[in-house]
Amino acid sequence: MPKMSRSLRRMFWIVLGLLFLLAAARALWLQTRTAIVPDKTVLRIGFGDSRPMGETALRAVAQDYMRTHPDILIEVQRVPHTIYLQYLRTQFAGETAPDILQISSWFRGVTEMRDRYMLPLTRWLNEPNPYNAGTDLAKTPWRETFLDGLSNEAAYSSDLRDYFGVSMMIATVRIFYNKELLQQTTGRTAPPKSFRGLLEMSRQVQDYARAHDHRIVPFAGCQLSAAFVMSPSFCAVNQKLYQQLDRRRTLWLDQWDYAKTYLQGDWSFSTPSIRAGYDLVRELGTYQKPGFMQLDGRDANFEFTQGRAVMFAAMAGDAVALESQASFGIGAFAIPAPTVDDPEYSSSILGPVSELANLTGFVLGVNKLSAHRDEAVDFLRYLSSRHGNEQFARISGWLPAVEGAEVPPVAQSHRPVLLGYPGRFWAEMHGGGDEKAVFKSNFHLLVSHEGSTEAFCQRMRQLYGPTMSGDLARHARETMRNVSRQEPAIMGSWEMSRRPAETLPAMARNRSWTDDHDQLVGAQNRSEAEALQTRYLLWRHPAEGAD
Amino acid sequence: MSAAWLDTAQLFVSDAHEAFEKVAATGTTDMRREAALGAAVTLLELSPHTRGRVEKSAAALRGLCEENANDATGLAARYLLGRIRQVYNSEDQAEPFPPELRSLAKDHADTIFGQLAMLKLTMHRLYLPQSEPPLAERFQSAAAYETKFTDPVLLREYHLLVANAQIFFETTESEALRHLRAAWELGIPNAVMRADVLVQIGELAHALGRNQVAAASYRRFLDENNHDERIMMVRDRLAALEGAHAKDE
Repeated sequence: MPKMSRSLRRMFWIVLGLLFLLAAARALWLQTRTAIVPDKTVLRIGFGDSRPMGETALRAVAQDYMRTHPDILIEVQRVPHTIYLQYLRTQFAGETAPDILQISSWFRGVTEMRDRYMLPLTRWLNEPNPYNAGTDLAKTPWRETFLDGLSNEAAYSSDLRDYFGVSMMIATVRIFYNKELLQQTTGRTAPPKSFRGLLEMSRQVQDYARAHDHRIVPFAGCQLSAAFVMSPSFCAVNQKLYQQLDRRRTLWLDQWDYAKTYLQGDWSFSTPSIRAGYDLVRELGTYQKPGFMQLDGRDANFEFTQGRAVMFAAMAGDAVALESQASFGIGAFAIPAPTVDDPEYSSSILGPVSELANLTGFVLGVNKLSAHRDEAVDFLRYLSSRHGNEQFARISGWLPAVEGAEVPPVAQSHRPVLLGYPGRFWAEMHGGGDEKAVFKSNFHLLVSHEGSTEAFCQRMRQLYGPTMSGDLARHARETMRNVSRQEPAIMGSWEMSRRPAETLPAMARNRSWTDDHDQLVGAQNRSEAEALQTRYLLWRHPAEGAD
Repeated sequence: MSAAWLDTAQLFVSDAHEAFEKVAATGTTDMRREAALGAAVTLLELSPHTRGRVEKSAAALRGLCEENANDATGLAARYLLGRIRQVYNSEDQAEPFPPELRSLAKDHADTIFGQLAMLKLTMHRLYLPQSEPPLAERFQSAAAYETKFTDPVLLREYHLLVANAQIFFETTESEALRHLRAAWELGIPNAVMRADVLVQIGELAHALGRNQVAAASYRRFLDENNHDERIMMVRDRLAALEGAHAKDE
């Protein structure tokens, strides 16, 4: 390169600097701009779901809404899911977050941000949704129009006893199967209807692969996909135990109850149904692609769509994407679990496993700082009305979250089993802290070729108690921190409730501050008592190495 | 100051704190006291949370008490001071029975802060992680407060607290049931709490052989909760009760 004169070099750097500044300014503008449109209120929606059909569906419903609300302009912004958490943090910190945001418990840390920065929707959810007028949901409280009553981890804060979001879809999981490969390896044209049928079919696939020196496997496994297959079976054989562990007499175990009841000696790694559950998990593990614990969803997806596995357990919402990637016909069926007439496990089974607690996807909430909260809530009402949710489901191909909303043809076989017994034992018994990591790092002892239920249980006996005690102590500290955080809100709501309505700011008048105070005091008491109970238990039952 | 309290209620503490500080510097005596209270309570949650801020808040609250410990602002300040000792310190430094809460419970039981104090003291006494005092004594202390609550919300909270403590310690099922039913009569607006209490009443009544009470509670649960994971389990129990009832007839 010819040597530049000093003045040229200076000019080069000035131009480069200007270009950089322009690019940075544009990026910042794109990040934070609110379109200024005369006579229109602009509502911004931000979400991090990686599937494009969600955005397409959301935009379509937004278009419909804007046709009947010409004073509203809705801007939809999809953020790459890999940076969504960071996006939320910077947006909240900078007070530039969109009016409506996706809350998803898939993103660790989002629920803490939700409780701090999102608007509690409970008081609207207790009233009927006006956009359900003229339907059988016209008088039903908005919350009760959702198939899960919004009792999911993303929409409901158990710390604050408040609702923060509305769900747009129910995310069941299904076993997708390669129709041609199924027939080729087993002679079947229909999937198995029962758990024993699934085991039998999986063995047939393995026999075929051995006989024909083929690399075909029953399941294109990965960590999450295998967990989908294993969970219903583990939960089924522990249905009676679940109820026995219900010390709070609510028939509901939360994710910490497994650890607490373990420390109190209510179950152990010698409990017969726990061992039975692990035996089933081990067997189901042998039908996954070898090394599945080191694989992720993309690996398993590839394995399946390349025709190397007969089956792939995935979210029902992935059906459309799978069909577009595969060159073969795909069917789907619900993941079977042992039933009350199972020849080996019937004594511990009560009935079907409910899918009600499955991960609900695409939960949207309102930014507490939004200048257009009423408009944002109104749009969410429209979006999650039966009509709005039907449209969303039709375009996305996902299962609707609202009662009575029409299920699109592609999702018909994905309808959830709502009535059944709790199906969260497997997902929750190892908590969400260090114990989960301990479980993952020792899971190979259960599912590897050289492993066994006994080897796994022996290891967990040494680790579960001490690790869960640490997790419980941390949880109690965090809960107490949340308790203290509520004091200003409680004082504030009490002060507001004492004042005549006409002396309050206009936006605060149509609200019962007495009810708000009631709600806050109740939520704080519940959380504080729970933290104190946990501390008491940890004092009373210090964890030892082995059960 | 309503706007500042609104911000406080919504945890927009930074804006609220600024507004309170302004009034505390320039307002009338009464306004200054109220604003100083607001500034102290919002200081507790200003980001970043530091020990220094908590101590500064406590100092401001003590100042308010020294001026007047018995007006509305003074009572609120005493309550917050007690709560700082109870829940703002680390676990090993937390004080379960702060003097501020004890004096509020003793001398101002007819005020909201006196009754909140009774509630929090009861809670921390019941779950004290020590061998002493024995459980019977803890519940006796709790019982002494029962007739002192005049605020229906806090009375309901008291009943729920004692009921769940009875259940936690597996003491007297009949007492737990009594408290749950008393809480129910006072009204439980939170839908999730309502569902839990209905199941708890059903479970305890069933265990005590009070089958009509149990069945009524299970039926109410099913009427009010169409989308709850517990539906099958509650139906099982109702079917068993109704089957047993049919047999008796």
